[in-house]
Amino acid sequence: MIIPHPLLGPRDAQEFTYLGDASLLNRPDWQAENADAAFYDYQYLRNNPAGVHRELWFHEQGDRSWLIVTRNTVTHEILGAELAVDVARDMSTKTETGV
Amino acid sequence: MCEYRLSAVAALSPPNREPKPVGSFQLTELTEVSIASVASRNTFTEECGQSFAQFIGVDIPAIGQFVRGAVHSAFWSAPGQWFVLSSHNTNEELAGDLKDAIGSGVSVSEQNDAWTCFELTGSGLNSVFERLAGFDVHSFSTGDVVRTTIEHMGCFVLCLETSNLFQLLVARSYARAMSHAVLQAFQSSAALEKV
Repeated sequence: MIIPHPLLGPRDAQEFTYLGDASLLNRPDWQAENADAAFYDYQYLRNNPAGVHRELWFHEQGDRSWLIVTRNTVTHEILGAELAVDVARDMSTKTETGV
Repeated sequence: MCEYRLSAVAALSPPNREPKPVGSFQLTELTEVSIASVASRNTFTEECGQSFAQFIGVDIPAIGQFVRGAVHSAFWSAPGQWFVLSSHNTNEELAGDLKDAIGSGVSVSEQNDAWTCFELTGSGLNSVFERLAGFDVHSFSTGDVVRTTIEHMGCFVLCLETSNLFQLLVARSYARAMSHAVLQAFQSSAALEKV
């Protein structure tokens, strides 16, 4: 597989390591009332879609950046890749502004 | 300047350290290189960037690039991170000097003994890198840099002159293994030249 790195262009998947579902970016609030249940979900429960899936990849043998790669788990077609730091920043901005 | 009572040794011990010519190619361990890494913090400002550029004497390298000033050279290693190279004889305390010059907007780490720097010379080194690594060496030209793997070893490849002059930074503990891998690739490429 070739992963289209947003900064470095097409790179071989061999250079990356896979972490898992991109929902891992949504770490629950540890001070919330339901933190136990939220962390149980966060840690153990995953969707396992046959189709388009957003997942975290680490460019270990490259620039060491975390990417969110959108991949079709049936065809292995890579539909896009973005820097996880940009996605996380957008998410926190939306949370702060309540959008 | 520090006062030393122990003798510094290179990563490769003699006779492995002698330059190794194979056909038109040659591999040399550069022992006189001072290395430091610079990582920007959240407090990195435009002024920090200007101080950094002033220190290296040229603009900060862009993504996948390296630049050479009169005294120092630098290359991009990751978003907001760079490596700076210099002469060990004249800039041994490179990391401290960088920190003093740029200030609190960056974290600077000395990398002197973390990495070994090899120089590869010869005409047609692209055929050597075709054998060694997975990046597209034919699109590589002077000033390009890539972090990749060679024989499972993470390394930086710097192109100083298209297809003719490269530098290779690899973890010091892998110096012998990398030297072996490069020399084998030299032999394969040199053998093909004779065909």
